[in-house]
Amino acid sequence: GAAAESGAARGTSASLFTPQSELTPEELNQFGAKRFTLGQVPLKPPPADMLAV
Amino acid sequence: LQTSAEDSTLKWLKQLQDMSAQCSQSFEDLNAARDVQTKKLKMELQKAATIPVSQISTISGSQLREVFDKIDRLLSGRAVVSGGKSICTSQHPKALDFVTFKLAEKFVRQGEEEVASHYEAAFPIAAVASGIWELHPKVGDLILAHLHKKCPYAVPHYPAMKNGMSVEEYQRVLGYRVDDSGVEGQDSFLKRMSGMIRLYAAITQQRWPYGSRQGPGPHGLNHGWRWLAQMLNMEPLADVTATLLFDFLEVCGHALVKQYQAQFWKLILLVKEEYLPRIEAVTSAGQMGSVTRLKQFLETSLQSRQISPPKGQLTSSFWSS
Repeated sequence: GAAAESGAARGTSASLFTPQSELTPEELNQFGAKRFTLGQVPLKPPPADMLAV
Repeated sequence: LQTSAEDSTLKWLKQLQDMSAQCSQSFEDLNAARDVQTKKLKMELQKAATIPVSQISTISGSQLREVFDKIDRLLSGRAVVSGGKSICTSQHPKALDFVTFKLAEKFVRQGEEEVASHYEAAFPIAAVASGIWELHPKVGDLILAHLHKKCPYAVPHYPAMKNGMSVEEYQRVLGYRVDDSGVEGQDSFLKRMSGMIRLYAAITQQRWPYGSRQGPGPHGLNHGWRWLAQMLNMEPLADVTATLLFDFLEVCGHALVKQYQAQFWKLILLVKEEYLPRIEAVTSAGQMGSVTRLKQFLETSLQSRQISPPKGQLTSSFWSS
């Protein structure tokens, strides 16, 4: 994925999943909870090992 | 809820707009040329870049490969036959920038016109766009730049009215067509926006099957996640938000469930239980059509615990035809 992107598009793109180490505690909380909090949905996609809740 | 997109989103939007303006500046000489020879060359280059895109159809996979190869050859500096004549970007120093720009513009226009009237057309157009994007990343950046300008909701971004802006100017920024006879009707506006969002949603899940690279496409489903998350973090607008959420989910929901599983169901539940009431609160009684469609989609999906694949998705039998 990322290798195929050029300069301007690279800013907000990464891979399909986000490693846990790249998430803030708030974002991790959102992915770990049973429900999302309105207004606080992380823009980064979830970590690959958090797809079941 | 916020009324504006996050800084990182707005920064990305600006970078792409600056890059697009720079590109268009770079071929200004070619664009403004007065001599007959250069003017003719410009017309021929424009046709060579745009005609293949208008030929994209659901006839067969092999027809799609022909279109793809023609565009790839043109962007790679090789000669292509267009309108019975051979043409090549080596014929003018700015020819490559020019065809790259015109090609990206054409992809977006096909979303606005073709996909707006025939939803299924999103898939073959997205397949070719995604494959060309992978090989020629500048085309991808320019597709995004054109798309964002014509349909800020694809960022997603709800532009605010700036000081000193006329109403007309603001309507243009919001994506409405404005001419001497006035501003276009809401139905026509929403139809065009739907076409562009559906094309964008198809691009995030579609990959060119003959590429040599592994993994997701050049602008993959992580962008589908980002788009939805950013939409849901912002205060909804009447009409536009419900329409575009439905369009996006109908095209991309099936792929997003497969990719993000329970996390995606959490998003769907959030829309149904908390976001939809916010949409209803800003919607007048006469505009409920799009809200009702979205609501039905969410209820059906949650009850059946699945989201149907979109109509028109390209199958393996299409690709072998």
